[in-house]
Amino acid sequence: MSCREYHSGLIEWGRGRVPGEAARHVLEAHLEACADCARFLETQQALNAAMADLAAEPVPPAGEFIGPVMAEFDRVHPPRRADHSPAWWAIAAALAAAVFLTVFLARDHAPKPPAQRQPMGVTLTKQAAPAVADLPVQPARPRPAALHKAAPEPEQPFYPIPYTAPLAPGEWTRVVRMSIPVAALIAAGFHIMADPAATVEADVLVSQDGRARAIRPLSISVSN
Amino acid sequence: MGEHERRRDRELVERFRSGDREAFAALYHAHYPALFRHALYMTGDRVRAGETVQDVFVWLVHHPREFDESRGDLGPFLNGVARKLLLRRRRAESRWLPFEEAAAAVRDPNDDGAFAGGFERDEETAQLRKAIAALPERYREAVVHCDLEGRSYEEAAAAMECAVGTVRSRLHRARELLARKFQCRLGLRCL
Repeated sequence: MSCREYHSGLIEWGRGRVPGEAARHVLEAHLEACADCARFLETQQALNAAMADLAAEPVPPAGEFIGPVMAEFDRVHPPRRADHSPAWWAIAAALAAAVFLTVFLARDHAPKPPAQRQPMGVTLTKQAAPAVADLPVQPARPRPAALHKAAPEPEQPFYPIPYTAPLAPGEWTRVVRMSIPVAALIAAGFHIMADPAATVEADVLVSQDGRARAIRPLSISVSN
Repeated sequence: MGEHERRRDRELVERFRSGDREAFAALYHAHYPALFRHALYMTGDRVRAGETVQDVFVWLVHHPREFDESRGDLGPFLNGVARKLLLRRRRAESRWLPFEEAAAAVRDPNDDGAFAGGFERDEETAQLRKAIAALPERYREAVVHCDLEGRSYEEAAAAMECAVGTVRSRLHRARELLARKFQCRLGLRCL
């Protein structure tokens, strides 16, 4: 065998993979007789140590190169994205409305006279707007839908939804007007003493990440 | 890669695909070190390595659905992207040779990538990095995958898209070439 034919085994040995006993005996016998191959093995072992040093070299901080990458991400993912389906918006708005109305129920709901029938136990507006529950009920009038309306205040503000991150300064927003079923609010864990068939019409303020952040209730409708 | 990292990657990828900026940044930070090292070993140049990492993640921004979790982990996938980008870049650059580099190559006949004697350890490491970067690409890849990144022959073969025996023979050839330079550096008779 020529020296070159031993190199493969010597390289693996130099990489730390000690050959099996039989192969090692063959290699050792050759190394005793061949100074060049002995040096070759020594060099392979030194090479391995140098490679270990190279592999242990520290890398520069990740922040050194991240700037252009994130800038490209922001360019590709603009504030208004088209990949949110209408169903997603509806769910987000329904959950947002549920949280919002929970707060208002806890704060503004006034106790009702026991004799009066209460079709809705929801107070939609914060202060001046009439609560739905306080409006007179007219069961004799045949109206298929929209029995009561709590007129929105002209300058009715958006109420931030609790437990959501505040809007960043200058953040894009969009307003989505939609009817949110009370049943959806109840399903979301909202305690409403109202007809599940009722719906709440509201403006939902949606931030650039597609999440509902604030809500402005406009009216409530109750179907018979 | 452990199961924890695998699960983390999958969650981050899902969030990134839906436009979550923080998830994308987390993916970057998780895979930056390995990618940078790979690019550094392949190019021997820190600036180019950083640019390559940037190119990989910018590519990912534009191709969020290309990664298929059922076919493997994100790390090897990004390594594959880096490999293709480096190859493309090398082909593009091979058409052009800056005048300064050409002049330097002519002026410095001793610059054969060999190690010089008397270097400190850091300098020795830098010289080894340059020597590896000077290897033909097919040999360099084998050294990077098997010796520097600790992959098995099978894993390296998958990454290099070749047979296991090919990886082994390329690695051995690469180490023979490096050994010649190492022997010269050690003051021994060169092979």
